Amino acid sequence: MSQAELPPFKSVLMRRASEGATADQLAAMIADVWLEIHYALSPIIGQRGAAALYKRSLHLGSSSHAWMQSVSVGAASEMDLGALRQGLSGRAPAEAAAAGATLLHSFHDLVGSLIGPSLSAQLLGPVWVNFFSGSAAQDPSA
Amino acid sequence: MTTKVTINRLATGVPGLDDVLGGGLPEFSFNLIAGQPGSGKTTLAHQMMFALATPERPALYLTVLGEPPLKMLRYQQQFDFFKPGEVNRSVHFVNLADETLTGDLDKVLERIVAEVEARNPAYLFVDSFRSVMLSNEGSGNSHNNLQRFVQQLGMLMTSWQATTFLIGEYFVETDANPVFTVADGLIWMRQSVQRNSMVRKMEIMKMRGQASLAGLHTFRIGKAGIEVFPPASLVALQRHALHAPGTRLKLGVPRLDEMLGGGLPAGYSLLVAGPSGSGKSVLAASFLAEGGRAGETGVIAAFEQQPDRRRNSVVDDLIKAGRVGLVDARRTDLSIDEILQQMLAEIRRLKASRLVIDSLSGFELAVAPTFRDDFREELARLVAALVATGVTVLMTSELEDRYTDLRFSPYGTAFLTDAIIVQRYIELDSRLRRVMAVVKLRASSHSNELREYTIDGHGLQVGEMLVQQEGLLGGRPTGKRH
Repeated sequence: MSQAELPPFKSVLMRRASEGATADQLAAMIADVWLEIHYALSPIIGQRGAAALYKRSLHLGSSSHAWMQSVSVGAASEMDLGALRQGLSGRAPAEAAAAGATLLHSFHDLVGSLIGPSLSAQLLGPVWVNFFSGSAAQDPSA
Repeated sequence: MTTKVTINRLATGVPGLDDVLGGGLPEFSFNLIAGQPGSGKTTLAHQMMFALATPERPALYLTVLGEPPLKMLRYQQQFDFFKPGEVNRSVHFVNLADETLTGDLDKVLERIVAEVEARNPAYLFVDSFRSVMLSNEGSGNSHNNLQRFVQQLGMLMTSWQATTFLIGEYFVETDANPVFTVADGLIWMRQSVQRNSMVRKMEIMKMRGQASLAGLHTFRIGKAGIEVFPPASLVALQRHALHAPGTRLKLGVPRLDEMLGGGLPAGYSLLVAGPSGSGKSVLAASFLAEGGRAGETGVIAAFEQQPDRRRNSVVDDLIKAGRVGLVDARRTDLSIDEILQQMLAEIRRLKASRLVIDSLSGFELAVAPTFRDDFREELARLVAALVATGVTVLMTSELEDRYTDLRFSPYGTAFLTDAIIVQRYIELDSRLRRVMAVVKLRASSHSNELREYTIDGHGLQVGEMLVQQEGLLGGRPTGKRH
């Protein structure tokens, strides 16, 4: 994946949905990525810093997925991933996949705009690699 | 064989800083970088970190409260020294805000120990230390706690064989702060504002184990990062063997060269003083052009206020042809040390043998107001440093024509130079005419003639003495009475 192009969050998640993944499974997968993001960024920018990026991404995502507005954001220093998972689980699988992809895209763009694509890739590259390789491994058609 | 310990000195990667520190930064030292917000502390720390850290000897940058790390990363990567690819490889950022917020210094220390053990850094940075101190203030007995914290951190990092930097704000220099006692090195960064110019200065207040250079050293923060300008006396000068001893450099004005006894001795400094319009810059251009003809290269430091009305075309052509380097110094916040560095860089780049400073009056206006009080002393050091490289220097100086006293230079700069040529206006036959003389040429005989000269499209043309006239220096000569 080159730094310039957007990671194919949407195609991976939509494919999982079309292959029969439930909203619960998709929600778990998306929450896992966020947990990895938390592990990658919190030591460097602090828990509050990482949580603030999550909340901003949620806010940005809610413009195309209005229900995200009602997802509880939790305390200032945490990402309330339980609430996100719950919110995604209550959607149809296609909507959960689309919303999860929007959220990750918003976050990806946000971090890129703040610290640039190359430092973003340096800090988050392993997270994306895990996400995509993990999805491939679980891909029953692979 | 000596049994004394040898202290390695680390190259900081900050141009000029190693000289000012006295040869680099002692390895395993415990240093404090202090200064007001915006003075460049974090930038200095990052620049050193990226220069020093390797994957085998990584750096750990602990951010405490204060500047959010995300912002720090956003802004620091604007500098050339910031290499994103080194983050999480040779450079590790760790945020300690959560521990600091508890106000418990033991917890902060515990976390630092854990991170140090996990990452085994050769370099540790704590930014900013003020936050650690402030968070501790609420807990009572803060001075003792802080002293203990600093001592433990200092001990830990020294035995861990790590070179440590605490970055702090708002320290009061006279305060008996325990951090000052424990620190091996103390780098103080300042901003001096006078009128509408701001100059950055750095002072090495303490550096155990080596003689750092006392006093304030100017530095600039540019896209490449920080550059410190060590004083002229410290600049490591490489003397080029530009000319054989005894060589004379022609000024390109044949009769003037004769008056000098065959030209200006190589390695000399010459002051050309005269009133406005007397042809000082024309002579300076001729000096560079003559060098060009002889296959030599030159440098001109131009301090003109109107750069568009440029020098004569000869100099412009030489600049375009790459035979003459231009130090274009028309800012208002320059230090003399910085200008010297620029000149030396051009001299080195072109292996130049001729240097022109046009003019000293413009030079004085170009330096920041804060340096003008010491202009004369600084200028003496600058000239000494320049001629020490082996280059031959021609400086011009505006000299108001005063017919009541005989002056050769402003600010008593005559003593600075090895040679002086003075140009004057005289009134004769209802015309303003020009005369010049070689006033001084150290350790060499020279003409004592006062000769008339004219300026035409080919430069200066030196003519004859006005032997029928006397009182020329009074400006209004009279015919001799026989």
